[in-house]
Amino acid sequence: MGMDGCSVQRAEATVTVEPKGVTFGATADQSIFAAAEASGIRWPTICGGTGSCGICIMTVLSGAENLNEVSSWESEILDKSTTNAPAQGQPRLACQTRSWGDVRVFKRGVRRLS
Amino acid sequence: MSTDVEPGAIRPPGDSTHEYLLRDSRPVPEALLYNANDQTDSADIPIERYTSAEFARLEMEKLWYRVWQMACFEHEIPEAGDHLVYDIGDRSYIIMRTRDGGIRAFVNACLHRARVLRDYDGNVPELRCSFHGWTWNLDGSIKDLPCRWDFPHLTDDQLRLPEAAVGTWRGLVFINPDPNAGPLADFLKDLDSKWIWPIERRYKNVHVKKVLPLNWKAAQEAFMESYHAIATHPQILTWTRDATAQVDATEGQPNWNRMIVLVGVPSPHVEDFTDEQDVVEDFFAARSFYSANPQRDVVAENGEILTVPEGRTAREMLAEETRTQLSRVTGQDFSEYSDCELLDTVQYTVFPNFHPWGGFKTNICYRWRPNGFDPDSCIFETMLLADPPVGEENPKPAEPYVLREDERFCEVDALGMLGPIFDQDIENMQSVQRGMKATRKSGISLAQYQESRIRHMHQELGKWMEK
Repeated sequence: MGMDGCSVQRAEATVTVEPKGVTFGATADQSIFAAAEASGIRWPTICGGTGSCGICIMTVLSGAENLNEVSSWESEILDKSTTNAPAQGQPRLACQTRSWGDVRVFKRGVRRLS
Repeated sequence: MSTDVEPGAIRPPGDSTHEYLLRDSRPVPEALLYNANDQTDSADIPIERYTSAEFARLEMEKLWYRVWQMACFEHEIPEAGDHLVYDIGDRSYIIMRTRDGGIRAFVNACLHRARVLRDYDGNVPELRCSFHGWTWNLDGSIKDLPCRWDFPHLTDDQLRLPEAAVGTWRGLVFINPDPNAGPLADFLKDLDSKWIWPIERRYKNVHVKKVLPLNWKAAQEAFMESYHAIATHPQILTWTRDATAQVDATEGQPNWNRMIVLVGVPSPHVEDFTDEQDVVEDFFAARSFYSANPQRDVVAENGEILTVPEGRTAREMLAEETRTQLSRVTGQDFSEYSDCELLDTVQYTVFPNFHPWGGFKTNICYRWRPNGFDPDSCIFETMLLADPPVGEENPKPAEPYVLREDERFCEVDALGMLGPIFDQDIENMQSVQRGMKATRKSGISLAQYQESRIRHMHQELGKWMEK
């Protein structure tokens, strides 16, 4: 962080979403869900990103070490939710997850809006 | 938010379930085209019905000791001497297959000094009390008692075992502790024409039982609506059209109601971002993830998920796949039956506490009973009816598996994908009863249409409590 208050260029992580292979960039100051929306990508939700509905749940296939920790709020919903994913991996709510590095996830229904 | 719509006219927006049925790939039977709901009351249901010990005691006297209730399946007591013990409140009945092929329900108490005659289910050639050896024939007539000379004051007629009324329907055995109750057929009314599936040919292949810490009505009501899917089972929303469920409940048919929930069509809550292929993939993922039972669940064969071609729908594809797999597994031909009967949730309630799922998939049946006189406790049972394996006779019905308090339904392999779904429901239940005591409201509020089966049940309960 520059001491003169200039913003430092934040590293942009690449998020890859299987099974469709949709990719977009995300910085650590926004959730993966918000980053997707900002990139013109539709991510399933009912609550719009507060972490209440559980619909944005995804499975982390690689890069889990680059993610923020699960908060108690996120874990409340995760405890009740299931991913319906064929692959093994850590379940996370996309609207509560931020990444400092590349990450590959599984989530159906994510697609680029034309 | 107020509305100018008449309470009885409230219906889900958009295409109705009925409209989907009219577009079914096969003709839909009249029983499923029936669409009737006249529930207009919107008052809260009084909380004390769920929490009051006094109400629980009165409910036992006024309802359970006088109403037709599902006791067992006919195929559980096939041979003369086969019997099950059915308990409700303080009452106990021996449901007995008699030598003439009929079924009787004897009050389970010796007519000498009242010892319970049968402590557990089984098969006996006669009913003999293990206290003094008093013995009855399987038809309830007295056979013998030691030192008969010492009982000149008791005639054979007085020594006939008292009975509850017994009625059977579609292989289900109902009893009514009131021996003078009207016929079961009068109680069921039009259910007989609105339930069209031959479950009397099936056998019980899973039976799981668990005591739950809430009132039997609060517990069963969690299953009498699809409104809870959004928060309790969000993972099913992509293939379950919860919010447009058709709810059939009328005053003229007081002892049964039902809902039809489309499967293979996304919920309105998620339809904007769910395409047909998503529906299919999530449908199969729910099954393979939860160790689908190939006898019971439609599976993605060889791990391959169907592709929905352009212009086709997930619903069509899933119905066709269900037809194919069910036909192969059971050896029966389902080609003429509707998508609705193969895919959809068509769930009935028979007053007061028995809930069979219709259609041709395995028929899930729920039964809820009060646990004695404790308003905060109930006995939950889930029983699954299935066709026998191809070319085989019906296997023996499953014995009840009783889950301990710390055991979860997902630990019962035989339940397949149902196990985790029950656990999601039960997760709520522990807190529902607690909340009913904590609330400052005097009643619970119900959705006018989606929760009208609950209202319908309570209206009938109210009549029993007054009688």
